[in-house]
Amino acid sequence: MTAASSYSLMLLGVPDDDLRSASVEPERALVERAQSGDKAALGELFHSYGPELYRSVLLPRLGSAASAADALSETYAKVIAKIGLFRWQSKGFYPWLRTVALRIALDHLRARKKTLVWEASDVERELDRSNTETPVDQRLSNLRDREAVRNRVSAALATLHPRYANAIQLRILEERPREEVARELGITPSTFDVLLHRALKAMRQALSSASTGTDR
Amino acid sequence: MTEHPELPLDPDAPATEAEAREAAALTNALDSGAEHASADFARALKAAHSPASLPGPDHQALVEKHAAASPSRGKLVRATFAVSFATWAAAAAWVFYARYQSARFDTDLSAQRSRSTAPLFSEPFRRGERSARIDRIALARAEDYRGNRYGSWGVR
Repeated sequence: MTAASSYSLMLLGVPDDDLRSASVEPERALVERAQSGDKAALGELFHSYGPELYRSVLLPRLGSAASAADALSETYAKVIAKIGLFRWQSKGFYPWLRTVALRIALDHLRARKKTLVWEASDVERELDRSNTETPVDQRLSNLRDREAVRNRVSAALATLHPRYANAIQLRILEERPREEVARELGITPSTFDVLLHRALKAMRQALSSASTGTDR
Repeated sequence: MTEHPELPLDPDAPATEAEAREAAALTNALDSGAEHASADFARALKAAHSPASLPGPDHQALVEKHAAASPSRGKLVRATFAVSFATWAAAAAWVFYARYQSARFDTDLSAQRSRSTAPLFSEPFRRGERSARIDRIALARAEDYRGNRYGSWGVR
C-alpha cells in the first residue's frame, strides 16, 4: 500500500490500526513464504529493507562503507539462519531485522581495537531500548536512527572551540576543498592542516567524554 | 566549550614539528583514501553525520549471494528420483548383458567339446614313472582355452 493510498483511507475515516494491518498483510505473507524456504521472498525482503538498514543503522555506527557492507552481508546470513524463529507481531518485520543488524554491529564494534564515533556500549544501550520501546513505523525508525547519530556528532561539535568546529564542519562534513576552507578561515592551507589535525583530536576527546558521561 | 589539555589554548598557535608532520600525514591520507587513524575517524564522522547509500549493484550482489534462487524441495525430490532410477536401470542393464554374455559363452557351438586326453598319448604310462604327460595335457588344453576365448570374442 502506498503512502498516498494510506492517506486517502485515513481521510475516509479508516482507523489507524486497520490501516496498519492492511499495509503489513502483504509483508506478512512475504515473511511466511521466506520462512517456508522461498528464496525469492527472502530476496524481496532484503531488497525492501537492506538499503535503509545499511544507511540508517550500519554505516553510521560502523563508520566505514566496507565494514557496513560486511555487516549487512552477515545480517542477511543470520536472517536466513534464524528466520524460522521469527514470530509475526503487529509492528512488522523491520524491527526484528534492525535488532539482528544491531547485534552484528555490536560484534564488529567489540572486535575493534580503536573506537571511531560509536562505541559498543552505545549499541548495547540501543539494543536494550529496542526491546522496551513501543512499536514505530519503519520510516520513523530509520529517521530516528539517523537523527540519533547525527545529534551525537552535532552535540560533540558544539562543545569544541568554534575554529575546530568550523574546520570539521566545512572540510569533513561538507567535504569542501582544503584550499577553499583555508581561505574562508583566513589561514594558509598548511596551517589549516594543523588546525584540522587538532580539531579531530579535540572531537575524538569530546565524543569519548560524551560516551563516558552516558555510561554513568 | 570543553578544554583539551594536550591541545594549545589558541587553535591557530604555531605547530610543533611533530604536529606539522602528523597534520601532513592526515592531509595525505584524506586525499588518497589511505588508512590513517585520524582520517578514518574523519570518514566515520562523515558517515555518521550524512551516511551515503549503498550502491545498487553492490546491494544486488549481496542479495544474490544470500538469496539466490535454489531448486525447490519438489524439484530436488524429482531430481533425486531421476538419478536413482537411472543408476538402477544402468545396473540392471549391465547384469542382463553379463548374463547374456555368459550364456552365450556357455552355449557357444564353436567352443571345444569335453573329451578324453587319451588321443594325446600313443604309448601307455606306468604308475610312478617319470614322464611329460601333464605338460602335454596342459599344452593341449591351453590351446583349447585360447580357441574358446577367441571364439567368444568373435575373432577366431
